[in-house]
Amino acid sequence: MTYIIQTNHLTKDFQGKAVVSNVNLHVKKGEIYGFLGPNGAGKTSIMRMIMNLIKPTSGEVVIFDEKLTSSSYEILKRMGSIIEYPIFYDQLTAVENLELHCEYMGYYNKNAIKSALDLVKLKEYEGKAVKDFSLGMKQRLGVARAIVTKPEILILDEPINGLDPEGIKEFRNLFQMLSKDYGMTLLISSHILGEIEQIANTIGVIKNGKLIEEVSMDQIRLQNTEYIELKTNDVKKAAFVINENLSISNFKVLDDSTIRIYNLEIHPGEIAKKLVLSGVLVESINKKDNTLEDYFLKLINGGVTHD
Amino acid sequence: MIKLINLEIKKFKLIKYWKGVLGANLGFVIFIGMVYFLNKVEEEIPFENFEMASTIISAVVSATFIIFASVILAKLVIDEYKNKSIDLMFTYPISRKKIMSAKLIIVMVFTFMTVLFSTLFLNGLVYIMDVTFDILPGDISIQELINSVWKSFFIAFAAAGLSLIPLLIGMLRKSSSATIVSSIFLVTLTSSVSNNFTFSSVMTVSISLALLGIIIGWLSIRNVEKTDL
Repeated sequence: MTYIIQTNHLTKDFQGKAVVSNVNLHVKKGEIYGFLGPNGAGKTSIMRMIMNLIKPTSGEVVIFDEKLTSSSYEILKRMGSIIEYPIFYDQLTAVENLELHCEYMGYYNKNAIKSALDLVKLKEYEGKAVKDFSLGMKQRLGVARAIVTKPEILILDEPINGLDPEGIKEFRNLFQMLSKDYGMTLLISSHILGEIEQIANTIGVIKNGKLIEEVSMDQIRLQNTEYIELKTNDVKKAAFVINENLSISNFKVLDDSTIRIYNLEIHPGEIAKKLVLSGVLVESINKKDNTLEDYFLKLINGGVTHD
Repeated sequence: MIKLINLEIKKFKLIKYWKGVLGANLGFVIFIGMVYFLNKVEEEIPFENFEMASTIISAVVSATFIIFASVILAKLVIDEYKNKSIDLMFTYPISRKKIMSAKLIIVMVFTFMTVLFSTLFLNGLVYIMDVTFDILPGDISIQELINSVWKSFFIAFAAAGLSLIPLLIGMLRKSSSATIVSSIFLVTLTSSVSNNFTFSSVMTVSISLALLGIIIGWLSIRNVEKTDL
């Protein structure tokens, strides 16, 4: 099993309009997959198809090497989820909701409920009816419910909605812990990049129902680190000066006029000065801080498509 | 299945409805008492015979509990769709057909049981009252009593089937009020029919409607896996 969740040419039409078109998603076992895209891009629809709540118009979802059909419900035992916003039986208390959930999931472990509530810091509200919960508390309880049965796959749709900064930080740690300590695979959607980039191993960018990029964070970081770009007429000599006189080894000669220096501790002016003094003509030198945000904004606002 | 039914009962705290059922029965007793005494005051014969009394009883009882059942139906099925908590239910490793069946079984069994036991109870009450206070002209034969028991079973079965008909309208509109209103409409329709016809023709109509209800229930169970949420 290379991928724990995979979609092949997944397409969903609502009233003749394609909400999701030709999406090929690849989620590896044990990773945190960040699902990034603006509101209404089709993230929720894809997650609903993965949870088998709606059926694809065409294409397929493969989970644990098994193709989802209208009667594959056994698989759901190994999955936990929050889709859109968490829904509870409002008149019941937090604990009662979780108990009910465990019963339906066929999971019997009294301690699990307590520890799940502990993890999301809702222990003191366990006996309170959910109708009195704030949005943030419901979100926390939703996560507790999704993880209480220790599923192998966790599908979380916008899990930090309604949380305060403190809560967001707690959740980030919690998700990382679930991935590391329990080996859970997490598929987390969000429209906020900053939240995804810190935890995800792989990011899928979706726009207008199409998956426009699926890339590992390591690769993005490699592509998008900050650097100083230097243009000169003599790269050979420049490279020598940089290496010897400035003792920088972390640089790359791109072509016969461009050098990228990844050591940012040194001021570009300093480099220029040394080069000029050594008789190397500097055509231009500037610092590029191509942040991740720029990268994704470029992706989302048109630009690169991979189909 | 039993477990699913129990979970539904727990989830919606259905046990608390025993008060409602008890209250309804108290209401029936008062109603029958009123019919009896008001007619007595106007010096008319309230019930010509036991059959008439038991027909009135079953009409009132089934009407009441079909509406009562529609409230439960709205809660168990329609509200789950409206609140989207059915999304949650369908993320469980349980076949949707079973989940739906459990809900419909609760509604049908509730209607069947309440109608059956209430009619039996009220018929029994009329019988005891007649034995003690001779409220009916003539005596009630054992055969009549046995017939009334059989009829109660029939009526309870018909009511159980009928109780699923509001599901059709309720699901189309995803509205609990539509469900309850349609059950009231249904009850009015069937009881206005029963005023003018013999028992057997009333039974034909009721049984056909009951079958219609069962077909509606069966279709919604069958379609539940195909429909998107």
